[in-house]
Amino acid sequence: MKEMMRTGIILMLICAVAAAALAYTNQVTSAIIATRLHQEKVAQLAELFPTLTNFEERTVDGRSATVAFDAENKFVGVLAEGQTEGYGGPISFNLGINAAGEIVGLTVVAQTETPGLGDIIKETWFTEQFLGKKSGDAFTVDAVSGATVSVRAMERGVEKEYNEIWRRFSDGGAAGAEGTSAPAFSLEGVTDGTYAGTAPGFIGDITLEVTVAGGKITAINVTEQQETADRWADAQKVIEEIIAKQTVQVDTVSGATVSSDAIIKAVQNALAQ
Amino acid sequence: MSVMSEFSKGIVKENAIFRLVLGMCPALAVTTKAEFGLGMGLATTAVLVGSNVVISLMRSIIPAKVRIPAFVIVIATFVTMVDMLLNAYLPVLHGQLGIFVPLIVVNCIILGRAEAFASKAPVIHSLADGIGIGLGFTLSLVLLGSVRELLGAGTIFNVNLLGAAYEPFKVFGSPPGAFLALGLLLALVNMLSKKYKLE
Amino acid sequence: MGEIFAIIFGAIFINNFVLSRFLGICPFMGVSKKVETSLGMGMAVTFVMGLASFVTWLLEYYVLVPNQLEYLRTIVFILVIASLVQFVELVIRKASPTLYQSLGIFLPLITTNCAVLGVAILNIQLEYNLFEAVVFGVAAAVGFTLALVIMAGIRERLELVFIPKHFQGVSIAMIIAGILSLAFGGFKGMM
Repeated sequence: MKEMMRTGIILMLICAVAAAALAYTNQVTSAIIATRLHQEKVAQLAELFPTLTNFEERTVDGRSATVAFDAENKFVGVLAEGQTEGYGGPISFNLGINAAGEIVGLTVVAQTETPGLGDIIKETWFTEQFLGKKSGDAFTVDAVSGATVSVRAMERGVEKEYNEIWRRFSDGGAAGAEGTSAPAFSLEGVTDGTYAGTAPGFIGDITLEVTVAGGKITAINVTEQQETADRWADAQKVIEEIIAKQTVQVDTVSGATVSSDAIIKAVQNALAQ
Repeated sequence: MSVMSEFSKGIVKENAIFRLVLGMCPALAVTTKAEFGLGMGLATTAVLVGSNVVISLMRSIIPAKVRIPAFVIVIATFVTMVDMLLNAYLPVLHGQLGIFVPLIVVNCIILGRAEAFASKAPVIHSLADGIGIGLGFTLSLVLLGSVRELLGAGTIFNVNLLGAAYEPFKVFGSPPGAFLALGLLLALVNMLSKKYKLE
Repeated sequence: MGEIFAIIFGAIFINNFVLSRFLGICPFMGVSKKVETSLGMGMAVTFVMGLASFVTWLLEYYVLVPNQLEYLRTIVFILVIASLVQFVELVIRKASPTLYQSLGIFLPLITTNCAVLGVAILNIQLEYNLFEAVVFGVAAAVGFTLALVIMAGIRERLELVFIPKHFQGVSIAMIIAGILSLAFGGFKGMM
């Protein structure tokens, strides 16, 4: 018994000393790490948005980004992380977009594409091809033989992430500024019934009816829309997703961003009544 | 054995990678370039020296029954400190080594030296042993990193040695190349050690 | 569902723990001489990695993060894994002596298998949720087992052929692993 006590006390002492040493090192280094990360971010932002004087981390619809402002507190651009599925696994990149909606910066942060072939996507000459592209442009770049899949993955990924980011932050992410994300979506307190909602689509208003039964969205019927036929076919995918996931925090459909976004907003409107 | 021989045995005769075949994971994973091999080697050496000295100092007070958990705590403490210091002062290297910095804790070399040597030997010998084994490990990693970097990119420590005409053998920068390069180097070391009768 | 499948397929084939991420090389070289023992090792590792993913995930998000103790992650995880292995060993010995006969001898080796600590840390870095973390842990271990069994199959045959003197042992095993790694490279791009 005495032996066990002694063993326990010694182990406790070792743990205590170890924890104290680590707490001290952490205190010293965490400040340095935080300063360094801050400086790196400032340098990166200053390069993308020369007029910036201030920036802020904001979260809109579950995505966070760094939003930059100039001396008059006017929105000058946004920097956010994006991801796409490449040939050898996920590719993550940083995407900078200025207030005019043009891509001003693209850097690949992590990738596992084939060395010598697909990994050209991380080179500056490759990423530069995306600079200046904006909403409505074709996000296509020169094909590179031996790296077709990686190049296509970047085209798709940059377009999708551009749309996702720009949809949320084109106004500087004002929704995230108050500390609340997007209109709160809660089925709590929504009594069963059918609710109508409207939001502007690509061409005209989209009007739909949301049926809630037993505290769940059971159906979404579109009563009015004027979108082009094939874009509409794509956009409707978000309806299935909203019902399946029981949330409006779903991704828009690339190629039909505005229409699918309008559907999401219309459902939000309907349930906010 | 003298302190000097405790130090020198780790570099050639009991070289962790090439003779004892320990610590293979980081050796393969981070040696795409000579400089990363050097960084990983020195980080491991720092942990090994720290844990060897502390464990040797405490060898009489650690109860035999719980010695392994006690060793693990000491080693993990040093690993975490090295991890935090690298992140603060050498961020680029820290990013490159990634998950293999915290994984130094399960590097068999370190626990092996604690159990087999530091827990039984005086401090000064343990220190010499730690530095020797650590440097041997570092040299092996630099050698492997240099071979892979030279074949895979035509450079060593980012200095171009083979000229612009050299078409890089890119597979040596990727996982299969790591296994191939280490396998071939092991065979070479086997041959040399037979020739110079190191057995 | 698609994401879960991507995690499973990715962990087993595309980023195989042994052949592409270089985790668990020591047991891969040490326990791959016979197919039977490598299967036993693989099963023990699969069990421990699934369990470790579960426990370390809960610890990270319910103990370390709320108390801002993330810097203790390495030390906490390795201690938990070590105790877990001891615990599993005890339970198996009491509950099923037959299973202990086949798996028990591998359990003490698992503590220093960097794949276990590796998967625990990767789960946090990749920001998986609890379910994804356990799936990733088990799939990674299945990938480890697959590589181990293939390797053992090749090494059993290697016993019967002529190998140049200096290549015998770990050297030829490394070169075979390199060729296997190249072969697994063929799975890239399937997602």
